Amino acid sequence: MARHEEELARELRRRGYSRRDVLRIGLQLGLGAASMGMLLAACGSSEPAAEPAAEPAAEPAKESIFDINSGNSGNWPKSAVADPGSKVEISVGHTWDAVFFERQLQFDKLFMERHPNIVVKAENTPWGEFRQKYTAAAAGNALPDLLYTQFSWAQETIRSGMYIALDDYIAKEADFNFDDFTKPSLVSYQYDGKLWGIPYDEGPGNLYYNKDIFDAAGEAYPDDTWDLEKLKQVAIKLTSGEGPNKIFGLGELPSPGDSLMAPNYLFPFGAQYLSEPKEDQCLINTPEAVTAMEWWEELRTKGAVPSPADLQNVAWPAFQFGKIAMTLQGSWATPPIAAGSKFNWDIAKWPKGPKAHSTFSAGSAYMITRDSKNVDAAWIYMNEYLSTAGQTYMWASTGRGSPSRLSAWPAYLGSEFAPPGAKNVEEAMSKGIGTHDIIDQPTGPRVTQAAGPIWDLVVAGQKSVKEALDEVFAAVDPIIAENRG
Amino acid sequence: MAITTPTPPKTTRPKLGGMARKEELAFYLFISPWIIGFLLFDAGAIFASFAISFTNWSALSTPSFTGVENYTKLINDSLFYKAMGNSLYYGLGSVGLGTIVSFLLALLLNQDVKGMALFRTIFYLPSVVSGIAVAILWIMILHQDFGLINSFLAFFGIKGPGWLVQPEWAMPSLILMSLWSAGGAMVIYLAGLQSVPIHLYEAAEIDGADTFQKFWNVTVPMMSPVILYNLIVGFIASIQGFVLVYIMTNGGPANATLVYGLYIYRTAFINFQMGYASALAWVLLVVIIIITVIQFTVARYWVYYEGDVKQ
Amino acid sequence: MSTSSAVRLQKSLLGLRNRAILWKVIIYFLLITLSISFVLPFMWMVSTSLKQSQDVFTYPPSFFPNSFEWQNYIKGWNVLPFDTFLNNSLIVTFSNVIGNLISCSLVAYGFARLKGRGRDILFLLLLATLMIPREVTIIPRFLMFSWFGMTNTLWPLVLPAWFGYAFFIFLLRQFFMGIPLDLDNAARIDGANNWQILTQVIIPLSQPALASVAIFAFIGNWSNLLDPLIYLRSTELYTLALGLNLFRGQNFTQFNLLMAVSIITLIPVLLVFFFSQKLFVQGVSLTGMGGR
Repeated sequence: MARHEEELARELRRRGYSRRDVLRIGLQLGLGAASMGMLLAACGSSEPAAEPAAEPAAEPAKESIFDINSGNSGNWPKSAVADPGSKVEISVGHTWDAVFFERQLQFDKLFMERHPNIVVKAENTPWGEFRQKYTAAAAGNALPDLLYTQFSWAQETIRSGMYIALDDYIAKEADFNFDDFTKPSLVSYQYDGKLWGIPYDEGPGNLYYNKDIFDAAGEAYPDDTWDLEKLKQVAIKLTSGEGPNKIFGLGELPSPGDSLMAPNYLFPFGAQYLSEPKEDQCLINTPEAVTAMEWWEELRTKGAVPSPADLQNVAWPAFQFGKIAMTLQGSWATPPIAAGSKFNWDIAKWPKGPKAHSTFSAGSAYMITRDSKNVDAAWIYMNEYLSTAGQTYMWASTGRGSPSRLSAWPAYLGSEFAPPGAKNVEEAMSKGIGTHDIIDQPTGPRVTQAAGPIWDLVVAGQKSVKEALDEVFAAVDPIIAENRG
Repeated sequence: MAITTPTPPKTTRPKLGGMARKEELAFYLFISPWIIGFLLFDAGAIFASFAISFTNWSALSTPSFTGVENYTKLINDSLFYKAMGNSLYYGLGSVGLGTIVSFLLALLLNQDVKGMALFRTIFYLPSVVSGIAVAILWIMILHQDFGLINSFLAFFGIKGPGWLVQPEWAMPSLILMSLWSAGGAMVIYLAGLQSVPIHLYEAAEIDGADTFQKFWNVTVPMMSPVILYNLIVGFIASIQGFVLVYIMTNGGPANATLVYGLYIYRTAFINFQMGYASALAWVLLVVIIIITVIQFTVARYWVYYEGDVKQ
Repeated sequence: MSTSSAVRLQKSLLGLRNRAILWKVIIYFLLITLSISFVLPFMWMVSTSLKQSQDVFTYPPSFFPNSFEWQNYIKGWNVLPFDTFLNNSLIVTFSNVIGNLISCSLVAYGFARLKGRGRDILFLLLLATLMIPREVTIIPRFLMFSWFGMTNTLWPLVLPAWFGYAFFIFLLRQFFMGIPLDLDNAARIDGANNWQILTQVIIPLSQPALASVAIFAFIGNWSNLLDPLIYLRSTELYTLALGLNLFRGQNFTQFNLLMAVSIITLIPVLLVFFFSQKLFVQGVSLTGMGGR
């Protein structure tokens, strides 16, 4: 109860409301006297009330309400490129959710204070419609100076000439420090020997687990000693119950309709989906791949994985229902799981397999577009935005996690938002477990669109694994033919 | 032309060439806003999409002319046939059932009882509430094990199917869901019912017509222009639409709900093949025109226009 | 009148009254049971809007919030400049409603009542503008409006409505054609011209149809996402529908805030719909026409 009053009070104070305003709003809200007291007390204190120091993993939702000065280390890089002599405007295309966009505006405000001649216009577009908007903008040569780009469409857009190469600018900056970026993070933005974008985040797939289910079964939590055999055993063991009360050991199984599948489900067994990184050969129906996929499918026959009917949900991972013991999710799932879960949970590494220890890694970047009229100013912005200080301010200190620079990780791991297992996420990136050998060539969407529906029939029990993988090969091979030669 | 607008009978029609020319001038004057708007906003874009269909264009860089390649590619594209089939299935199913359901709802909501404005508003709600709310509710209703429908069937000892997850049941589920947003068509039928002249009912009563006969011989013919409108417009909208499909199934399982609009969207904005997407769109345009012309042709036999006085 | 026939009459009158009551009971029963199913998604929205974010995901989904977080409404509204978005939505929506009512009435009158060469072809062309999937005309239209210098302004959202919209033109044409020609002819004999026939005969008789157009134009533009998305870049020009979708993030959707603001934006729609019902009835009482 108290938490919400404090939050509201903080929010109101941040917006410059006086105690009197708070009282008025509180009355409009019909808050009871006790709540009002708490609200005013929280409002009266000069410092935001300290968050309860509970175990972060068990800590329920936090709405993202950020203090503009929190996370600002002040160590902003000094660019070798000089600030413009007179006012210029740059626009930046983002796709943040409404709440996090506030943080973006805070960053921009501080940036403009440091660079009085650069006016930053942040454009924010809903995630679902981002591609439509900026495809139209690209066709009309009306792209903003800087643009968000996800790994999955980076190669396509780089090759179509939408961005400018950054190598010359990077060469000028003595303190840029290329080695600071986690290895997989740069892969998607390189083409033709040049770098076309700078990633802000790159996160691995992790094993998220529901501690309450483990505790109830008296099972030890997953740790670094686990291998996939163990994962399978425990998943079967934790599966119990019937109907609405059924607990599933594992959240999902591999599907060739998923561009991130290979590192977690095939590489550990020495198999591959497409030949990475060129993606010019399909290896999904080789004996190793078929064996690996059959190995995973056993979990379905044992009922340890929810069926599509069980998974009938719209927009959130089923893990949050609390009916799934373990799930493979990208590190970007941490904030929504933290906000939407009513149980104890934590993060472990994806277990190793007989042939390799690997998990997928993916992320997003910002690019300077060919339509930019103020490339220098855009670079100055980008250099600060994606520096250690910038990544700390934007993503590490706010709990978004998975910064692309290793030097920004300590700030995340030390923040109140990082669950105890967050160090496993960092280690997956720094110890070479996370790999960017996922499907990311321009043919990628067509490959997964062709393969997914075939696999649906395996899921429905209407087709054997071998049969389906042969069909996937036949469907995918002509598509990736364009990657040859 | 199939969509002949009924014309005033010869006797009332101006016989003088000058009069006819005057009427023609008035015709063009009245429709001039649309003609100007068409030339300003639509013609260019429609023509451009036609031109783009002969190119290989990602929309991100310069297009290259490829002749009829997109159209020949389409002939061998199994997804093209699948998507077209799915959309025709959905279009016919949802328009056919939707017409009956929304008409019946409109009749119900045209009764003279208290609180009708409130009831009408409630019935219109599913057409305006958030798509997510609608989707979530339907997932609860259609859930294989605990959904309302299957629980109801289980009551009679019938084991219901996995509505949204079994390829053969996914499309019927979506058609069922579409009925629920019949509110739009319902509004038009309500407006239509309000416009039926009351003297026709009185005349029918004098002739000794019972309720059903009044409905069949007065209401239905008088409503026929509006029914035609809903059939044509509903079909155009449903064969292109994909929003609910996108939220609920994204074309799955096994492409069972890959409707044409979704296929065009994917091709254009996920795969960046704007040229091919334009070719797909133009083929759909031709199909819709053919179906619309057929609807207008058949309409001559069942649609009655009061404004078309035959002597 | 004999006693027995008086009794018979009384009985049949009673029977009539009983039948009328039975009829009303059936009507109410149908209305109420159907209403419950039609109101459910709205109830889910209300319930979600009052939940804490960690309560949104329960299984099976619950219709009753376990807490009442009224501040979700204030919080959601204040996360983004929704006051500004509301202003923009009002501008766009009202100019579309008025523009469409005027332009579509004129054009529909032309197609329904007047004759000219090429009319049928033009009408098919009008319908064809609806038949081409928007996905492939979005970009050419965007290019055209940027050539006009109108991108990142509200003009592309406001201007086209003043030149008619095929859905509404077709709808009004169907209604206009249902009005007896005798009325036109009578007016013409009195010396009325086309403009007077439209404004004094056709429009007064088409109020329910015009009300439908107004409702559809209002709701269509109020919830239009695609056009604002494509043409607007500055946050201060965003409309409610566009702002609302910003709650749906790449990895993170705050359903409680999303639903709270959705409900706020839904209220005007419901009010417009509710009060426009009077227009439907008015159409009847003013003209002395109408069913039942």
